[in-house]
Amino acid sequence: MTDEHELGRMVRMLPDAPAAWVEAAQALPFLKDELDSILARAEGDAGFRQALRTDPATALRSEGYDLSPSVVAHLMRKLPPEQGS
Amino acid sequence: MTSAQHPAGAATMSVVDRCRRGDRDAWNELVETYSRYVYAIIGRGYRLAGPDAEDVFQDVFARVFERLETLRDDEALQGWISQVTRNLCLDHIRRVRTHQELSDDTAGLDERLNELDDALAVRQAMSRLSHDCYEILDRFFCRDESYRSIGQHLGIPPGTIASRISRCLGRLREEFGDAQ
Repeated sequence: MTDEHELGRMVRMLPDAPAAWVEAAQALPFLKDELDSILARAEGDAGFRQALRTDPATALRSEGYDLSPSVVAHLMRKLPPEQGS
Repeated sequence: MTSAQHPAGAATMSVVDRCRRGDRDAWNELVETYSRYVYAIIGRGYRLAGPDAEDVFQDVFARVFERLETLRDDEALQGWISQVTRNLCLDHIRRVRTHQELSDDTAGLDERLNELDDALAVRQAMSRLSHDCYEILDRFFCRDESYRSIGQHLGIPPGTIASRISRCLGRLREEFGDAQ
């Protein structure tokens, strides 16, 4: 690969991942216990689960959790599906 | 040189060990080093986008962190991350798409993934350039900044940007050639 236009094309092939995704990927392994405990509670507590589905940021903040939007989005994707869905 | 500029192969020799010991800075560095590569495999390779892509992206790094202990050869990290990403993309696609859609998505896949490996090698060569060259190429090609914006950020006359890009590409070509 010697052509400089081709090199430019190759450089362009790897743009930055979204910064919020990178920050969440950096944080998630160190939040595993916290997230597991939130998910366990959501599984057994219908009220908490409903509050999470309605307004996750507020529900988590009111329980003392301070999580970034990307981490919250990741957590919400891990919530058990609604019964009957 | 920032952590994002470290050549992946050289940097990860010690970073992997530090990650295994739970060193958060090392983990941040590893994620930064491979985030573009994983993102490109998911998006360009498997054509996942939006929440699907984000979900797989997070799952890849979670799995890499969990299973780093099982990696026997630290120098195989890039290939291993690539394989983890491919497996998780396929798992995701199988869950949400039909067999026909899966075939359509994976047509030409090997060629696209080989190209991404080449692109990562170019990025690694780029990380060995001077800070100025790295910045000017990254801003122009990856961040899609105008000559004026690059000039403002780097404090150089916009009229000289084109020739600097050309000169830095020449250096990149030499660096890439030396590494091959």
